[in-house]
Amino acid sequence: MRVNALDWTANPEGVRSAPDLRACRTLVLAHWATQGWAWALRPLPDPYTFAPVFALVMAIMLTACLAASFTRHARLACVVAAPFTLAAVYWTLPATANHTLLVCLLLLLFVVLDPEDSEDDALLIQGIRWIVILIFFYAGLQKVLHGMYFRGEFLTWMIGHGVERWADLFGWMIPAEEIERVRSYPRYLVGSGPYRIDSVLFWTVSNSVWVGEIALAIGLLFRRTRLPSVFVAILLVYTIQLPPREFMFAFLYSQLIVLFVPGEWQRKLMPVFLMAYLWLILALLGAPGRFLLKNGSDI
Amino acid sequence: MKRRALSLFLILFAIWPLIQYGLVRAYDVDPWKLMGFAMYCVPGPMKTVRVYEVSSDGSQRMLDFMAYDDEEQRVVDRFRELRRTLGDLQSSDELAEALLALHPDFEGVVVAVLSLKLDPKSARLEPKVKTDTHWRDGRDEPFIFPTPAAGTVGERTPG
Repeated sequence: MRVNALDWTANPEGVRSAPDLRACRTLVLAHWATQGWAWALRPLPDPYTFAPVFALVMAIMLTACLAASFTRHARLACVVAAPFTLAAVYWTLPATANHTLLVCLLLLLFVVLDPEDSEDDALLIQGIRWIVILIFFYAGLQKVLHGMYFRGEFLTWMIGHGVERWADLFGWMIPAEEIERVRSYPRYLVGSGPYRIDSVLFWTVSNSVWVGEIALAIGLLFRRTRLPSVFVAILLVYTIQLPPREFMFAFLYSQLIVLFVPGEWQRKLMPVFLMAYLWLILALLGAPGRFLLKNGSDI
Repeated sequence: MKRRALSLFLILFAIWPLIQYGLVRAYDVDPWKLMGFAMYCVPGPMKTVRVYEVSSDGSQRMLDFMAYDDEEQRVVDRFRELRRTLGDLQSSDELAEALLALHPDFEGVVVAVLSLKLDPKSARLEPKVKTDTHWRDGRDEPFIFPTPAAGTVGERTPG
């Protein structure tokens, strides 16, 4: 029997994902439009700077593409958006954020594959689901390879020198004097440390991060474990991304995870995600909601 | 055809993080970048760049870029930013060439990069120093610091 790994993430026979994929395509363009406005409002530092005029043109064009994604010209919108996004990635490499590279790949998939075509529809849903699974798997595996979660070294570092919210997240399980200790270490001094907290509970939580990510990759692969995995996955994504306010990644990744749920939930949730992106832009412009911004001023 | 192309894309997508991990290990590339999905695995890169001019009499002096012009500061900032992400893959050749062109009196330029890494064994910040020497005459030999200056990355013998 010939086994095709692509089929592992396929829908049941006869079930199409076109409504969800159309919504996903719109959200990919919404993500890019948001990023475009962020670059237009806050120019990147040298050497990644590109002309402010280009950033503004890109933001306007991507917003127009986003609007066009609601019409029958949605695929053309992706084709028009692609050169702008490729140019932006070219200029921001090698410091381009992973979510920006990911959303660029997704946009290119939507250029090549059309959700309106039944064969393309099947390939798109299988491909995007595999991407989500691989990201979860590698997020867990990389933590194992770098070896800073076994005794909580990375989380201890973040409690000591990350944003205040990291300490809030883990503070309840660590004695206050331990938090004070790791915070007292100089951030940029040779020999600073040890960044280790002797707490079995803390180590368990630390290890559960990479174990959870790898387990979720497996859970999302199989139809029977898919639905509970989706809920846990979204919870995990927001738990990790909430303290550093990495909402651009959280919004993108959580909407991709929703693609595992049958029943057109991507389409149903699309307005929520669109409002969330809009809120990010408005927060950048000074509207209420600065708590959504990284360091209070960025996305 | 599309199915095969998508399969190939996914295979590359699945292999790439391993290559990125190899680059991180071999060249000190920033684990958070280049789509290896290693965000929140290690603290972000902590790197300091120091540049020394070497005079014809063999003496060395650390350059204070705040005292120099915008162009000089720009080339150093650019190197610092790219080195932060690309690690040793970002050569210091372009920076040295620019500085040697801006300062005809320099005999050579030494670029030192000090990285601090959180060591999982000791759970402490451990240093790694890498220095590159660029001579005006193009000879290929490292500059040996004669009198280590305390508190600078030059206190270690370049190698």
